[in-house]
Amino acid sequence: MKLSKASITALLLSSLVSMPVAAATKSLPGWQSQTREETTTLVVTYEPGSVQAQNIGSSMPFERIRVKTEDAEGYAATLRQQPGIARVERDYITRHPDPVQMPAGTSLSQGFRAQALTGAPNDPGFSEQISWKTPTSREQGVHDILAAHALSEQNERLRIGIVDSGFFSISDLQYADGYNFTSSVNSEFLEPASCEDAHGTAVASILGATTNNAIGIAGILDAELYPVRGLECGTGDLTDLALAIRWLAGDMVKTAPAIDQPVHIINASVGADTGACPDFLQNAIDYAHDKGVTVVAAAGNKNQDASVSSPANCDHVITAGAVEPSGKLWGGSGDGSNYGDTVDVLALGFLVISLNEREEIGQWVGTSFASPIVAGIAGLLLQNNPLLSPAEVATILRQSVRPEVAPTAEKQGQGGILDAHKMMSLWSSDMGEATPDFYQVMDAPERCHREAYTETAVGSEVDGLYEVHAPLNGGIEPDMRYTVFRTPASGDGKTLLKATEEHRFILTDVDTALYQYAFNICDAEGNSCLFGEDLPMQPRITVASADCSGH
Amino acid sequence: MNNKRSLLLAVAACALTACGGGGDSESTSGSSNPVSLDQQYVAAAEAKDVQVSGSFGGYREVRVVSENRTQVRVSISDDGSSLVIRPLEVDRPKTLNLSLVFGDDPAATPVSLTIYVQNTSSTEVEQQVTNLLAQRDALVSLEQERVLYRYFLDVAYLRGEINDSRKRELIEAFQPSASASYSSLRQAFTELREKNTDYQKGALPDYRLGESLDELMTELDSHSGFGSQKLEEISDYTSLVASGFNQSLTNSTPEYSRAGVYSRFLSTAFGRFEGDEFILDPAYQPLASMIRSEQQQEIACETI
Repeated sequence: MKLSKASITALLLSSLVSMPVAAATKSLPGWQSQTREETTTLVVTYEPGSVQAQNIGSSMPFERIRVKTEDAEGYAATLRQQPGIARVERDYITRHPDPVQMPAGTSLSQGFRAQALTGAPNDPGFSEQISWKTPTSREQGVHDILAAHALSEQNERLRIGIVDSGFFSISDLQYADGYNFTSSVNSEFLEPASCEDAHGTAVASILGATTNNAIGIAGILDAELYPVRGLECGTGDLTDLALAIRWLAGDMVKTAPAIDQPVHIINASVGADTGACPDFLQNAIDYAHDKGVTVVAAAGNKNQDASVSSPANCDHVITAGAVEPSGKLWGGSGDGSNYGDTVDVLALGFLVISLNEREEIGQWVGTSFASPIVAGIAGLLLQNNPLLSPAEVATILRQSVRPEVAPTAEKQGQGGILDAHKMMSLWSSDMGEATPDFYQVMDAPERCHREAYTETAVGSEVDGLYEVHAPLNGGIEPDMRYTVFRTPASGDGKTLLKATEEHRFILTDVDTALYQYAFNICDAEGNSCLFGEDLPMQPRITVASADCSGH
Repeated sequence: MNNKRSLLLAVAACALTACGGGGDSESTSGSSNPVSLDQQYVAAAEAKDVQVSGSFGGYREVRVVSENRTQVRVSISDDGSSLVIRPLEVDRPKTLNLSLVFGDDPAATPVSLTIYVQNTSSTEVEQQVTNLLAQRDALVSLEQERVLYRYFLDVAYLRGEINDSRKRELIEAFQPSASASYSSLRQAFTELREKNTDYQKGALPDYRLGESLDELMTELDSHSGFGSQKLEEISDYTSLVASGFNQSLTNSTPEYSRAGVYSRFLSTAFGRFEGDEFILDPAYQPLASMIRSEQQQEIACETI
């Protein structure tokens, strides 16, 4: 007998015991007494065009089936044998990175005086928002956000998606729209009053609290905020995070009303211990990435390698670790920032000022609050340069860092501390468009295999090798050359160092301590230059990033 | 055949509801000695025992009454605490929906159990197929050769042997799609993927999967020659890094290694395996991060 439109799924559905489940999760019959911890949710992705895919509709990328944990392996294996089944994975419980109690007696005023800033916002909490400060020798774990603001033009008002729980209505936050993916009957993204967890409120405030309204704190961005409940009061399913990401990227998901346009940035201060990024989540992130959405996620607070936590370990995610105000990686023998090659950049995650459900200003700790700082700084870049792709945003952020303070051998490869002002200094539209990029050759992202250069033919000379990448700007006249001059630091005696037709070239024996370097477009002898004054070239400073071991 | 199995699974699901009785495991109803199994679905290796615990009402006998009874042997363990199932050998993954009767009461209601039988004798082939399919894009694009090719040109550029324009011109010349084997390799991958899907769903025996795998390996060997040829063309620059590289390249043979990676650089021409770890010869040690020796190893750098 040939099955017509009645698929396996449909037949199973007909035999299910009705029970209240979250967000369209089916359950196999006979064990409705099982608790969440005794069950495993399988995530079934169907082949495009299959009967099962048609049955669940185009608004759901997968179906969730809850089984007894003992049955999970066998049932998943059996399912995979069925026609129309593309993939069967398991779902994971998602949580905020483990909440951390403030150390007893900790006070922001310990050694960190509020900075007297010219032009500082009038929000009452701003004086304690140290992430906005200019770094000093004692305070490396801050991001110079106020200075970056001066360079960031709002060429486009961004839309920011925040996947979390604990969103409350406070006067310092203006939500544009949102949704709840944890429930099949309640689309309200605001948390009920019974929940005392204001995690999402704090994250959203860091990103987008109204600035200069004499209320609360200063948000990094003036943006449209789209809060999405992917958890219920701090706990949820990783599949709901995947659905939330898709929805924020403009996909039709379940019965949620579609948003007008994809958001620019998604912040996910949530995590699940998965070991490896599940396909259903990676597919959602890839969907968002292809739509031009930059995804930022918290690394986690378990003081372990971040590669075991999702979405931190997924491709196309900017993973944020946390530092203390000093610039050291946050944590000690107990809780602390996750670390490792999976972490892309570091941001303040200790004594971060934000708001709770009663709009009270408080101090928050964890990578959950480093992540929105990174997302906000990414937003400063993106609103000034709206055409940057997510990959470009990620690369620029990774290049715009200062070294972590006192890194340890046990926790290598955690990126550097994000410097918003340095980033905007390179990418602000105020910059002369002719200024070339000037960097030590090993700082180029395409030369991530450090040993292959330093231990071979280039090795002994590599420190003095710099690359100049002049903007093409339509090219130069045939008799003109991209030109570099060198002047001793004392200021006497300019020397023509290079005159070339190549817009990308190498300088050897560069010593930025002894010399100043400047760029112009001149004839082959370095005369008849295009710009009245040579353009000083400041080397791009980046962290000597972890060796691209590729593991 | 697939529909028939699908129908059996559906019937089993309905049967579970009919006789589930609201409890959390399979059981007989109306029997004076109720039987319950702690699992309804179990994965088992071919020709190997798997045990499912439960309560068997004191029965010491069990038999399979469904049509697939010849494909499996069942018994109750000596201590009476578990059902012992041994599926016979298979030539493909199989799902067996068993109806079990305990004791000798002809009126006893069967108990259902679904077993997924793994074709463990073909595990190596299955793994190789899985690994190669996962590496498909990298193999078709000759990613390994391309990474090394770009590196050697970059070293020549940094050494002043070539300028940026010439470097980019040579990089542009590395076009795997121009290889005569490009299309046939892609086709071989498509066919292997389809065969693997059919095999995993039990519609194809293992030897047919093996045949498709052999065809892919032939195409891979042919395509790999293009990458090798491009590296030979820039031997002036490869010798800047390692004087013997070109000779090693000539002596190398692409193969699927024990690391689960298809490469010519994990051959004795470039190093040796110590256990499961590939150790490059000293002359090539600095290139280790660019030579994929583990499946998950990323070798391409990011660019903006």
